[in-house]
Amino acid sequence: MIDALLAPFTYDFMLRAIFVTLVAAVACALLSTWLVQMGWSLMGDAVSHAVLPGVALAYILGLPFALGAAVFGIGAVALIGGVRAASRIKADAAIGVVFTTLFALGLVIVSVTPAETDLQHILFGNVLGVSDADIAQVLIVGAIVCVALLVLRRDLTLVAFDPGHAHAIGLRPRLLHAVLLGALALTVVTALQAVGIILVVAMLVIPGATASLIAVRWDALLAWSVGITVVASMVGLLGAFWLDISPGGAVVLSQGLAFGLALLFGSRRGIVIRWARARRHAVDSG
Amino acid sequence: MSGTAARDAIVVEGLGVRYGDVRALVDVTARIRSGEITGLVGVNGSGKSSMLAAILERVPHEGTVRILGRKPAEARREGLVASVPQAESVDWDFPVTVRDVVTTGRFGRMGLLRIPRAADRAAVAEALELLDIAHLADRQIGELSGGQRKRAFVARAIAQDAELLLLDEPFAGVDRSSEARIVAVLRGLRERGRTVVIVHHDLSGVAELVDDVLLLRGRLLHQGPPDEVLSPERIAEAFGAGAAEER
Repeated sequence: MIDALLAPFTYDFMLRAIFVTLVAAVACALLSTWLVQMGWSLMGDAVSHAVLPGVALAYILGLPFALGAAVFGIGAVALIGGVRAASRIKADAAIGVVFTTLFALGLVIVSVTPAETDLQHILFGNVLGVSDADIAQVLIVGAIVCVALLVLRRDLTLVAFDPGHAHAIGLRPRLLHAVLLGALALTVVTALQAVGIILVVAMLVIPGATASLIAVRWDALLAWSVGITVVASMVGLLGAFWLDISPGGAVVLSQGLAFGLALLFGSRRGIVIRWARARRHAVDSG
Repeated sequence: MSGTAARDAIVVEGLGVRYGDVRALVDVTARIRSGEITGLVGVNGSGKSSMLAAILERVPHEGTVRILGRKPAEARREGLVASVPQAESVDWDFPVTVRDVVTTGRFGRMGLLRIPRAADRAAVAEALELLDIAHLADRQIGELSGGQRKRAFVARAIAQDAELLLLDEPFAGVDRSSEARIVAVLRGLRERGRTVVIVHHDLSGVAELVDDVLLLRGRLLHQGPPDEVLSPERIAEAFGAGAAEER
């Protein structure tokens, strides 16, 4: 029994997969807290899709994926702002137009690129086949994102909660928003190795949304978000090994299951907890 | 710096704010004196909050603003300005406690990581006591009543210990005991030589609290002491006929 449980850890490809997934998951989980609280989940979806042409071009030109992703991620955000200003259409429509167009451009580039198989991995992830170079890139980019977010976490939280006060005390909300968007573009690079571009948005939204059902303080929110995503990622990867299913899909499914459990039993806003509180209140007042 | 400038907390010249094609504020030139409580008074949509936002440079504007003789960005960087937002602009579901909120008033005095030192913790504790919300310090901000929430934001401004405090509708949706506590704190600030600017949309209690009134209706109608500016004719001009009788 013990041997069976430990079996995944005896394979080099599984150890690599676990390492890459956990680094990506932690970076996504940290970023997720701000995206969810600021109502930027759709922006996360947009940037994660919009980086596809950048990553594909970087692959073709032999450049780091992170470079292509950062250029197209930040470019997409600028383009969304430009489209809104020029057309006065609403934000969600501008986001929808820009990210789907860029994603389509990425698909076209992938379809005419000779080494199509490798680029298909960008769409769906290939965590069981990561190379040493992939691991190095995920580690460096993930570390940069995590350190930046943790160092700036109190300023980022203040800007998310009360940008007026942040501005009044001399912080620069626009710069901090740019930091978040830059971190978003880079985080997508780490996560696309694990689950692929199509499912990256799940890793960028579910941990923060799950933790918000539990935590009432920001530091606790960060801790819950990271803790939940680490456990869910391990469950997903090991489940994928034992059941021979898609690792990216299994990781995201595990995160979705964690959200479902928090929705029922979360100590802040879980349905069961709220029901029990309402019942206790009715008994006390009756 | 001239003697006049030293007494002026805020000087605006030709201040205008425009949202698209709508002009919210037109050509306001005014001086707000240091060490006083000044009220920006007018009906909803008269440009009061826009004027506050323009002073803070939160919205694009025409004209010039000086805060304590400095450009607004310099004054903000030096921690001279504290602001209390309208209740409607805050996400009350946000996962922060009352103590967290008040502690952000000290951010300008902390290092990059914003880790509070003993002096910061003491200032926060003192501000919480002053506003009588120390017992609520570890509650999530949204669990408080409207008045308690407003007291938390005033406590943040007290902890910041800024020279200039700008409050946007501090008494809207606030119970009487919270209003009394906030008024007492604002008067205490005035006694310590601090400048307070309040945006206020109705006339109840204004005359008793403020030293100077700016009566607005898209532009500056009148400025002066409340007993002079809040005359029935001028109130009717700013608020429409009937408002003076209700007062």
